[in-house]
Amino acid sequence: MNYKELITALSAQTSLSRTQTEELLEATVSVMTEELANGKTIGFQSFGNFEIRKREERLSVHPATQIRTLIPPKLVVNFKQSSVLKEKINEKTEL
Amino acid sequence: MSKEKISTQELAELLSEKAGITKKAADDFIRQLFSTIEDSLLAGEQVKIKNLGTFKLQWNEPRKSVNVQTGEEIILSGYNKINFTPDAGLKEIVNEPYAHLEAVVLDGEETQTADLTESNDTENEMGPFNDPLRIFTEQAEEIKNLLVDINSLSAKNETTEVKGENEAIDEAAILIDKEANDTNQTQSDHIPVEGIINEPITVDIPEPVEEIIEEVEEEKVTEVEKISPLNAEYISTNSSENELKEDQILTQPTKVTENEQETHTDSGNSQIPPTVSNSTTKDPRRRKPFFKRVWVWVIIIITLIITATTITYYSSSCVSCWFTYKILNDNQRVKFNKATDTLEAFTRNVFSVFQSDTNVEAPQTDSTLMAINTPDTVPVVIAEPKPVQHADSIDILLSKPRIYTEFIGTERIVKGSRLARISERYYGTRDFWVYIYEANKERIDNPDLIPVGTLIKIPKVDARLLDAKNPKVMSKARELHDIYVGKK
Repeated sequence: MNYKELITALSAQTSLSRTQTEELLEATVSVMTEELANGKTIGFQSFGNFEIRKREERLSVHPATQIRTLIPPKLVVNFKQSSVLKEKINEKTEL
Repeated sequence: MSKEKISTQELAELLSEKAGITKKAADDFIRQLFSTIEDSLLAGEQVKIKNLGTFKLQWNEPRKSVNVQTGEEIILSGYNKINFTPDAGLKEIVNEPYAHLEAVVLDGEETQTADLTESNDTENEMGPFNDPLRIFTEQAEEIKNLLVDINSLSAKNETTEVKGENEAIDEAAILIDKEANDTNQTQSDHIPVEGIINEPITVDIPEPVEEIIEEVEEEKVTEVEKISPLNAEYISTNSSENELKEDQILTQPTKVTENEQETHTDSGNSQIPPTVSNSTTKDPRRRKPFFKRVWVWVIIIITLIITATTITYYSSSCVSCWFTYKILNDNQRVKFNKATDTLEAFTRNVFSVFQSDTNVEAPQTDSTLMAINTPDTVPVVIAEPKPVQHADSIDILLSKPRIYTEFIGTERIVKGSRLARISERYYGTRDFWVYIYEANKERIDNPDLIPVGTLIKIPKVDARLLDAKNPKVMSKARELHDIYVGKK
């Protein structure tokens, strides 16, 4: 499902027009991005958590040339599904 | 950085503010959004949200594990997992605090490899120049040994006259050694010497060179003629090669060192090769009595043949020598006419011609190689300590101090600004921040610590200096980087 399909499906459920849905979705994404950039964790009940994790700096050694490189630390977005969602998904596949 | 958790309700609040809808509607929308995503994922589809990322369903295979307490093997059943891959834009926004950091190649390894490549470079540059030198010293050693052998051999049944000659040989051997040392010294002196030479002399040189070569050639030919009657088959191609190589190298350093002096000293200079060739070809003379007693007539016949062949050999070499010389001369004349080259380049040019000429004198494989190569790329073949003449415009550009007169923009330093980031924005590569720093030196004390609010100008830099694909340019930028960063 791509972005457009998602908007179509959403607009059908929320009885909003597609443009309205798109605007709302964009606003949601921008709010989420802002909050994540501030280092906050966003939790959606029964779906999962979005959080920022720090990848520590590390030393990588090129296997062929033996050149050692210090990889700087970085921040990444991590998503962890809620246990409710996990159960739901696995129930379905088990059936 | 707070580790607060924002719940759906709080997010809905923020969304309602942003989108100008009621809190309730925002909350509903978020729930709808995620239930839609969920449904779609359950249907086995992946969901892509612009600027956020992609949700995917990922099947984790069942795997074996060990119960830590009992040590029994257990099988963890496979399960589905929702995998979220953040969008590139989101990644960048989130990583902003660490964006300025770059992977660093650690010093220990890097300097080693850098040194390696550097030494390789210098070897490449110096190689052809060093080689003849090394060969020369080796040969000098060989000849010396040979002479010692001959001395001991001849001591048994030699006349006093020959003894006197022996001394001369020894002297010659010493001379050779000395020359070997001299060549080493003069090699290191090359650049200063070039600097000292002034215009009138360099202009004068080309003509005398012609004469010198002529003289040398003549002398050589006569020398060979003089010697050859005494020659037996003993002179192998090897020994003649030795002799020739010496000539070639001997004339080279002496000419170099005496460049500063009057040109007519060169004529005296050209006397040296014959003496050396004398010394090397003395050995047949030593043999003379042996052969003479029994083989007088045979020797005469053989020497006649050898004389004929050597003369043709030399004359043919002479032809090739003249040929190359002519080309070189023409080349030079063109350069004289142009007169656009700097004085430095000029002297170097003359210099290299000198060397090539002396090299050409030797009718060896080298000389033919020379003959092919000298016309277009003189210094590469001769291999001066630096490939100066070949130095293209980029080298000149790199060695010149940069002057910034034109500016393509200004930038105000805010919190978190980095010169490297600014450079990346303007020039495409962060390594070129050094040029921004150079242009703003009076405003920036420390390139790592610029006060917020500083207004810096972004200079217009020569496009060739911003060619990230050119390794020379990059190494120059890194070099400057090291200077500016290490300076404080």
